[in-house]
Amino acid sequence: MHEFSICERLVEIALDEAAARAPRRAIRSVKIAVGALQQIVPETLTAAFEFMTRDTSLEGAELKIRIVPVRVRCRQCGAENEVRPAEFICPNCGGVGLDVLSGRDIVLETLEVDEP
Amino acid sequence: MSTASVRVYRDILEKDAAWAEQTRALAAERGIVVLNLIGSPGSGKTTLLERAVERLRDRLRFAVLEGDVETTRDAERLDALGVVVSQLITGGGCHLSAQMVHAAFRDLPLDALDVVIVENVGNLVCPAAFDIGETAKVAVLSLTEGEDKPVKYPRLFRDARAVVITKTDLLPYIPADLEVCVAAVRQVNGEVPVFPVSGVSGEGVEAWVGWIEALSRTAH
Repeated sequence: MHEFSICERLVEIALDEAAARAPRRAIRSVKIAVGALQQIVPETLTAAFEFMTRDTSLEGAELKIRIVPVRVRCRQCGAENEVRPAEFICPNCGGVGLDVLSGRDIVLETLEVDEP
Repeated sequence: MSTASVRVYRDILEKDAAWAEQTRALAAERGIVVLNLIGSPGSGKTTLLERAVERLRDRLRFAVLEGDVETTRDAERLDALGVVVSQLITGGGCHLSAQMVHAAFRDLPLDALDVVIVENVGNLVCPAAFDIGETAKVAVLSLTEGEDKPVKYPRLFRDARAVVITKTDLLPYIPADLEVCVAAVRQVNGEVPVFPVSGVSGEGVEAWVGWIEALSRTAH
């Protein structure tokens, strides 16, 4: 249920950015990129978002969630590949010393707003 | 009406990261190791902590930040060991936040400490997603929970700097296989040290506390 904690932070930042970058314009959607390693349940995050944006300038905005796959670089053979979070093994050489390149963060990417 | 896309690209967990960095900096200045103990309710986190403090208290100075959803039961248990215990109650929250930990950490007698153990809220998912400024995450998994848990909750086991498998004294009575469990850990983290431990018989405790001691040496 960490979706609620994450959503709290998301709404705060999205409201802040909306006020700064698109004041008095209707926000249609909020697009975020979520690393697969965050283990969030999109439906739960969406429900939390609907609930927490009530009576704010983000009310009615759609939350668009893009899941970012886990990419790793193998320290043994140098290959870069996508892996499943449940299997951190280099698909190229079977090495287990892997550095995570992406798939860990949560980023607010864009706000879709009405043209003035 | 047409719409425009406004690019933002901002880290949603930026505040958490900032609080975590403050804790990390405070700890690093003083050579303090901060361990973030994460595991299910009943996996044996508090017992593991008690065993570590009992074995090491002559050599290392400990404090414990005890995260609970409600009650101060664990803190009372640890008080009996004579270490500094600070209780963090999340009031329903499923994990400790970097800000909560920082506030409690700052209030500890930092100049008189070597190791701060943070016992996170019992949960394998949520605490794993939040950096609280620890030196190392420690995943605690009891054999009774099922050997496949590392694969089902990969973030925690991936990020852990040590994995402790508890309740090994129950092996003769349950359909669990230690090797299968270690293999599941290896599938998500091929390099992490794994410590099978029994808090009841004391088996394996020495290796686990040895790891804490070694980590503390590198911090000084």
